[in-house]
Amino acid sequence: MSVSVLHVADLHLDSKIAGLDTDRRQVRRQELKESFARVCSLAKERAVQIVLIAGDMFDGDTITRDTAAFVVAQLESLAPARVFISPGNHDPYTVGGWRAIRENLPEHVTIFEEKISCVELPDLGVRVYGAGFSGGFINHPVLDGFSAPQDDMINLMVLHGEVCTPGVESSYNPVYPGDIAKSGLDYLALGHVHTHDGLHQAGGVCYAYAGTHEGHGFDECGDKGVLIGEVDKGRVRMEFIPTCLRRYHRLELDITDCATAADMTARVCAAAEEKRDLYRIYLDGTAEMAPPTVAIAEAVGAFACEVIDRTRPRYDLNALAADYSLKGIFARNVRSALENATDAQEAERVRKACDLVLRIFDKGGAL
Amino acid sequence: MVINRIYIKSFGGISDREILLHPGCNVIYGENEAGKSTLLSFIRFMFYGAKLKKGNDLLGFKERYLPWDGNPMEGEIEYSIDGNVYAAVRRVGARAGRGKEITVVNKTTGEEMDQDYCKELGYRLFGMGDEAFIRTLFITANAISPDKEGELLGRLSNLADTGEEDVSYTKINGALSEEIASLTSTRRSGAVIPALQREEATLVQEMEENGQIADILEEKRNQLARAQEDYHRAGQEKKRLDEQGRNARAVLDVKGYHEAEQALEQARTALLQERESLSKIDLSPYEKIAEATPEQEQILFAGDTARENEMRTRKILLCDKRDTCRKLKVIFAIIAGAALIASCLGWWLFWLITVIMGGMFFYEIYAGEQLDKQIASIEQEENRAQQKRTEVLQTLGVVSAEEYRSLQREYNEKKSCYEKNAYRVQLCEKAFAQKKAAFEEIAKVMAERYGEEIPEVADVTLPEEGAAENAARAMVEGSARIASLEGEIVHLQEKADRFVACAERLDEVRERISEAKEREMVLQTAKEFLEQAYEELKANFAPALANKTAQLFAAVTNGKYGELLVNDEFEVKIKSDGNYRDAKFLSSGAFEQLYFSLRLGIIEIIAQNQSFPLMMDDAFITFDDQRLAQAAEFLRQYGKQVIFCTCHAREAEKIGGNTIALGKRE
Repeated sequence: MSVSVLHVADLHLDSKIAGLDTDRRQVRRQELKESFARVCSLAKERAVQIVLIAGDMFDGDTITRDTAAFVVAQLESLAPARVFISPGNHDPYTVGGWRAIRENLPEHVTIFEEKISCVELPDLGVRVYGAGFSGGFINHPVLDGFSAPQDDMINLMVLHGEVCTPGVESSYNPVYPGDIAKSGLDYLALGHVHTHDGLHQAGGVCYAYAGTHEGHGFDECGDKGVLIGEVDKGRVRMEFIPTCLRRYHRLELDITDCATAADMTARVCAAAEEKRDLYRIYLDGTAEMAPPTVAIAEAVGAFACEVIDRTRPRYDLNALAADYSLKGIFARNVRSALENATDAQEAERVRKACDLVLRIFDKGGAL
Repeated sequence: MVINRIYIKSFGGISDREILLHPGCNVIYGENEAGKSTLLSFIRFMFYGAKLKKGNDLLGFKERYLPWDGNPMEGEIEYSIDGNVYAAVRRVGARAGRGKEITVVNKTTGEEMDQDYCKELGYRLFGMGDEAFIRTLFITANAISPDKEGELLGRLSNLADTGEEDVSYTKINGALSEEIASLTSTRRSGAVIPALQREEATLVQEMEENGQIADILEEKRNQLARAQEDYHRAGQEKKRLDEQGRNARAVLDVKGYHEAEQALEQARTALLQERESLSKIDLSPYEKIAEATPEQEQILFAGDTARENEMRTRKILLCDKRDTCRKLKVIFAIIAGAALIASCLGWWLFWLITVIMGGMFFYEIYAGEQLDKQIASIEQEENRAQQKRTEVLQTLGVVSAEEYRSLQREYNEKKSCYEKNAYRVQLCEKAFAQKKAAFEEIAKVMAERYGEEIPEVADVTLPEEGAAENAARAMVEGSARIASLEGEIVHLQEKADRFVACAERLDEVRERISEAKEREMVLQTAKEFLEQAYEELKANFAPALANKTAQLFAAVTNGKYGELLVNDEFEVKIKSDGNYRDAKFLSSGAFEQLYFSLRLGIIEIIAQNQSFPLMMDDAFITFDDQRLAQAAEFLRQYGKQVIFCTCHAREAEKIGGNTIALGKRE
């Protein structure tokens, strides 16, 4: 007899959004919540029996009352599914944000505390284990020495932690594959890493990160969503369903062969087609003139687009250095400075200075 | 280095044209559009290729010079340098071909030059890039009108300054400084970094304040919870007190009811008692006495009355008087007798005395009779009174006045008892009536409050005085406190909610500051390098240039302006008529000559010991005849190869040398 499970984690509701303007940040924060609502309605659609939330639902300092009420409402809507939450390092169960939620905690929701504890659901034939963070750090492996009883009941665990290779330490509950293998679980639902990278096996135990349900920044690109499926004794069928409203994209385009601004714009627009999404596009290569980043970003017409000019102007330092003029001497000095540069950052600065001055020369003295 | 031969296979509007050049002056004469500029551009093309930036020109090199008939740009150039003759062939089509673009062959040795050499041909030959090549070795007409001498001077300055006519060190440095100031200057209101730093400080402060908000909020929430508990408890207490109060009131009511009832009963009992005791008082025996009239009383106690006393007294007096009278009577009788007797003996005195005595005696008898009558009447009256008294006694049913008196006393006692009792009865009746009224009142209230049944109440302790009021007051205070805490919490919550936005903005501001600071560093580096280059230029280039220019200027003007003083800033002072005058006073023609001298000076300094062909395109159109002659003479004396293109016959004539006519394009 299998049990249908939804695995979601790292919602980070109400957390800081970086890298956008004020209005869009507000929108994104709102969308994090909407996305969670979508996840919950997905759970209801698929008549999921157990929902595992593997921590970092919100950031302890920043959750608002509204959001807390919203979370409670969503949790309530999940009934009659049973919900199990293992708080993570950003939302340890001791934090004030949980108070508001706990005041109105529906019955079918369990929040795990420091020690691994178990909730048995005989009617479903499932045991759900879990443990939560009580503070910002856990330096010891919580899973160490844990072993679930082997019988007819399906053993699930929901845990927030960092999978490490043996010998590596972590401040966020290091989870070693060795411990996973000894745990005797049928499925271990993990949270903390914001990317889903497939289902893994350790000694017959299947484990996975659901990743986050909605990207929070340009370091979380691509599809984000939840894991949903069936867990059986010794057999796990979980599939990744994208639930994100928008995706983040980070692109690096070489526009050396684009002669005009129109070409550059066309190249960028071709690479950034999803109007719903958020783009950060780096323009590399050499260009005669500085690419009009703002105009290009607008032309892309996506929800958010930032174009960053990393192009260098076209010039041959050697040829210039031969010149007997101010520019020539300047180029010569720059060349020898670059040859003797020890610090990469310093070299970059010199290069940028050179680009700048040469551009001024080209424009006849204006910046 | 000397160019010997040019063969244009196809370039611009020219095709299949060979031009042979001499080492000295070469004049290429043709009308406008004959292709002079094309020729010079071809030379450039041959040495540097087609990927050239042509300054601010709108068309790229290719667009300009690719033949319209679809042929590629193609040609040959032969030149001599260091005793060797080289031939270069270059071909550039509309699209990048697969073959070599350029080949160079050393005709003297027969070796083909390697591709590295070929690709950098211009650089190798002239030691400068294509921009510098154009700028330096090509001298074109200045196209400066005679009244824009200042501009020319400016160009001269720039040229001496930076080696480029259009831009001066001051301008570039100024642009950099301006940019730096707009980033960092604290004196400017809009300077980027200070503004961002101010914003950062504000945000940091706001975040510090709000950082504690989480704690304060927590504290407030705890306080609220406690206040709510207190309020709740106060509510409970009040309820309890109210309940107690209600119970107590009920108890009191019932007590009062019962008390009233009891009181009523008591009053009733008292009343009945009094009535009974009243009824026990029997006054019937004293009826007669009660009905005794005052006259009867008077009669009874006439002996006691003053009249009786008076009478008795009178009687006694009268009796005394009577006695006295009697005694007197006797006395008088005796005396009279005696007197009588004595009278017989003859004395008239004794007769008088006898008469008097006899009179007295009779008076006394009369008096005595009167007195007896009075006494008799008094006695009669006394008897009458006595009789009356007896009657009264009979009537009254008493034996004696004393009895009467005692009975009367008894009666009075009893009567007063009775009256007292009756009064008490009256009081009791009043009390009873009152209690009854009170009881009925209470009963009505009880009926209102409790309905038909009088409730059973246990005896409870009465609440303390004012306890309920205290509880009520505690509730009011508690409610106010809760409201104020809730208000504070909402306010704090708003602030806390802004916390995230605040933190985000702070991150953004910090990132921008760091970007701006990096840009500042880049600008400073640029400024440093530029300044360094400028110092170097001035140290090395300017003095040599000034010298050279002075020499050339003297040569070009045939010694007219012999001495020239040029300082670092290329401010020119010219010695004329024994005085050094500011160059501004030069005429435009002289300016042109000065400009030309400067260009040549630069070339000579760059070339150093080598010699390069000088390429000029209509360079002397603004010169007047005399100056033209001077310039032409100079060129002839110059000794280096000159390729002079012109569309003016007179220039061609004046310069002379190898003259090639470029006809119109076919």
